[in-house]
Amino acid sequence: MTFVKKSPWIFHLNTGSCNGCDIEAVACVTPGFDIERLGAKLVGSPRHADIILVTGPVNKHSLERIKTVVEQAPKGKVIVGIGACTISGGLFKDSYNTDPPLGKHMPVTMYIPGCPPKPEAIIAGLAKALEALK
Amino acid sequence: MNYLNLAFVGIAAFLFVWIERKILASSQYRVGPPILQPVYDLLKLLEKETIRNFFASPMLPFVPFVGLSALLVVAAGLPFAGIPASIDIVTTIFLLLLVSVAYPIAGFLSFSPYGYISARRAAIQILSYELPLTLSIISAAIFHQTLSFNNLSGFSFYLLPAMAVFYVCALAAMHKKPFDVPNAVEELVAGSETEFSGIPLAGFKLIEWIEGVILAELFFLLFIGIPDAITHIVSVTVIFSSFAIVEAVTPRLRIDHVTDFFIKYMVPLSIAGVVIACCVRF
Ligand code: SF4
Repeated sequence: MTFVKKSPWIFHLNTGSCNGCDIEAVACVTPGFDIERLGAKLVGSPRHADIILVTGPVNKHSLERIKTVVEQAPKGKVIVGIGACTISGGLFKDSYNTDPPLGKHMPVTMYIPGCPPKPEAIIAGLAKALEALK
Repeated sequence: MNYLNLAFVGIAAFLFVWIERKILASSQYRVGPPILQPVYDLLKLLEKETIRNFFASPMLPFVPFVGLSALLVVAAGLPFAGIPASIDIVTTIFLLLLVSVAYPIAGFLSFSPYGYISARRAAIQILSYELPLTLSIISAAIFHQTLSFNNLSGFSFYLLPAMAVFYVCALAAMHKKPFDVPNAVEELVAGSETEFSGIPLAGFKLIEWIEGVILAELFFLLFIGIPDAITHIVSVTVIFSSFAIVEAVTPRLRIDHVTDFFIKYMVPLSIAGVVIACCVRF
């Protein structure tokens, strides 16, 4: 029995998104949705994280920082990409400054599509990501 | 050793943090976590990897356990429902100071800018609240003419100023809302705990949870003090819930405002408490 599934702590990482996905991700902890019911909680430090929620197209400026932050999380972390940007670059596909698929740079467990995805979709995705935690 | 009180503190620590999170959630129209959530959080932290910071001191992971063991000594010494205390008031003051100091020490040693800022703020906050806290405990001791927890004889109107000072200082000692400057999550990531993961982080969480129960229990013993198990449990729960309600309804102060508040208002009030207790007794 592992207890990570009962208390996933979420770290939110912005890689240069338009802020749409971030608003929807933070909406998950607000009264209407309340992921604290599942035991989840937003934490500020990657050292405490079990799930890392990544938003945005990976831009070249932030790439090194993202890798450092993800390396700082303890073993057993799960990386979840939110939004069309992490999948293909989305709106920023043809930009000179982005290096889109997030999966190119780090092992991503799952993507939640949408531009931005609804909070319901994010919660459903997190519930599935909990299955991957061990 | 008072195993009964130790068991009470152990169970209450988990239950009370759930009550606190429920109160916070209902004040924001949320549902809140399930009742076993603190247990799950702790067990999860125990099975996570403990990351060793390359630059930080190798003693760093042991810092929270110094504070935790001091807290457990206090928990095992306090009286519960007629079982006499095995530590006295002076030892309790000393051990509680050791608990508060563990937090800034961890921040200073952790080689992180967030930990450093948080530790500086925590040290300033300790300097502000420790004097009125000690004076309020001393005025209870003078009023009851004893330094032992066994001879405290209940509620008195003369102790109201000391009671108020102890309540406010307890909030500051626990880093609860108006005084949560050292671990302000929106500014400082996670305060002194930023660089901690796994078992040492679990130690910090336990300190945070148990300290709340111990301070609520001290408030009950020093100023209400009825040696009866049911009254003890109910009053400690009510006192802790009132801490949580204060946490839910107040905003955060700035560190200079915290110092101002304690030096300008709490120190004179606690001195007044001592003077009143002396006038009544001598
Ligand atoms: S997926 Fe859409 S909403 Fe999300 S960051 Fe990209 S452009 Fe913004």
